[in-house]
Amino acid sequence: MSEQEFEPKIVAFLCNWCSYAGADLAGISRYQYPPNVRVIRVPCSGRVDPLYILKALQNGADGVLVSGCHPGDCHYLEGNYFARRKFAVLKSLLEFLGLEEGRVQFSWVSAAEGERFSELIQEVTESVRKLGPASKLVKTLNIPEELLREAMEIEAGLQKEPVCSGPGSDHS
Amino acid sequence: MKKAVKREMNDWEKELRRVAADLLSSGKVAVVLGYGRGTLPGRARPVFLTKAEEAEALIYNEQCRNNLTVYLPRLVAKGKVAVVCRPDDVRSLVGLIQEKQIEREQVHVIALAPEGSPPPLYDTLIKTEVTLENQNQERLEALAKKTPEERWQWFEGEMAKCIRCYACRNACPMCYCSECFVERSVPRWVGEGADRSDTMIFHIVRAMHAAGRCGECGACAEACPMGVDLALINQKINSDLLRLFAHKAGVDPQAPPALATFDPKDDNDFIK
Repeated sequence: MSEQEFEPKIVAFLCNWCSYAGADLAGISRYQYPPNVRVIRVPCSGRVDPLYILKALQNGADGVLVSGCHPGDCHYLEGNYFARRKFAVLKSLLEFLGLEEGRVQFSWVSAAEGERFSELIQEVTESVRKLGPASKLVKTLNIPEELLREAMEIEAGLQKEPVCSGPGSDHS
Repeated sequence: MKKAVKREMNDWEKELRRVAADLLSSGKVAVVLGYGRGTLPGRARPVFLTKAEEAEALIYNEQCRNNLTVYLPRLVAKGKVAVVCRPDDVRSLVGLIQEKQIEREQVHVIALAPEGSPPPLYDTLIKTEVTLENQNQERLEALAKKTPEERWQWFEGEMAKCIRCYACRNACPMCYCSECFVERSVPRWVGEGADRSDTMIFHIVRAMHAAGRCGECGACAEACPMGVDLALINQKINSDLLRLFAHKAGVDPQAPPALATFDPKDDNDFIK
């Protein structure tokens, strides 16, 4: 797959009160943004466990975005402040371990920033596209190639000649 | 490894045995939790003493590598416990008190520390010549100088060793959850077995759970049968916490863990 053809899959955790509403506003206001982003609505950016981010990467996301209310605007007053500390540590650790910078990104988007949301998604999509497909934390099945080929051959054979046929067929 | 300390003749062991015998015979504590000679040469093991005459079993030297505070949350139900602590173990103990796993009154802390560096909290302080060397910061800086790809190779190599026995988790005093995320089946967060990405996720999340709470005792790395360099991953987080939030876990009983608090002026530059 060449770099031009690569369409990244991005999981975005958006907080219910600001960023999700910001995304909604972008839609209502007809601001365009790339369809690469898959939105998961969470009550607060403070609700996002580092485990969620890692699971998204493990299950095939090329990038993860976490977005919450601007500092001081949190619906729960201080959830995003706690989130900020947690993400600072997580980001630094992941980059230290060798994960590409930019696989995991964080932002603050308010409910009034529809246009900014659309710009942000464009930015994030382009930066993840440049990084290419994620491979580092992705779960693979580790099946030996000959076994996989054999299984595929059997599968192909089954499709050509059905082993059992339903009633009314002339197979005997 | 340093030359083994002479077994019988050092002052701190004599003092330790005297203190333990006193505490038990006066009934001040129900149990003394300390180190005794292990079944293998070069290894110490935890001992739980309930009678004053058993105090002779106590030893303290460089071979004492467990963090005994790991037993406290369950042991304090049996009565007041006197626990032998190395300097960094006291930090775990402070953490357990902060997180309300034990109460200050339930423990008598027998801290052993080199002259001039008293731990943040103790009831009895015994001076010792035993020092525990920690060179993690130097090793961390050496690794940080490498390229991201080299660091990833290092991480992959460490993770390939892991057999997912969870000894690191069980040895850690701060991992006291009755149900760990790796064992949850609904939802199944982390697959069982030695899958590479599952192992990585286990170790990253384990380190994140210890962030701001790890007292740098090294019990996790010591418990690892495969020699996974867990201490370096913890050290990375600890040095970040010091740099970003000027936080060191378990030194101030009044200060909450770094990730359980915040400052509106925290670094915001990494967020778009």
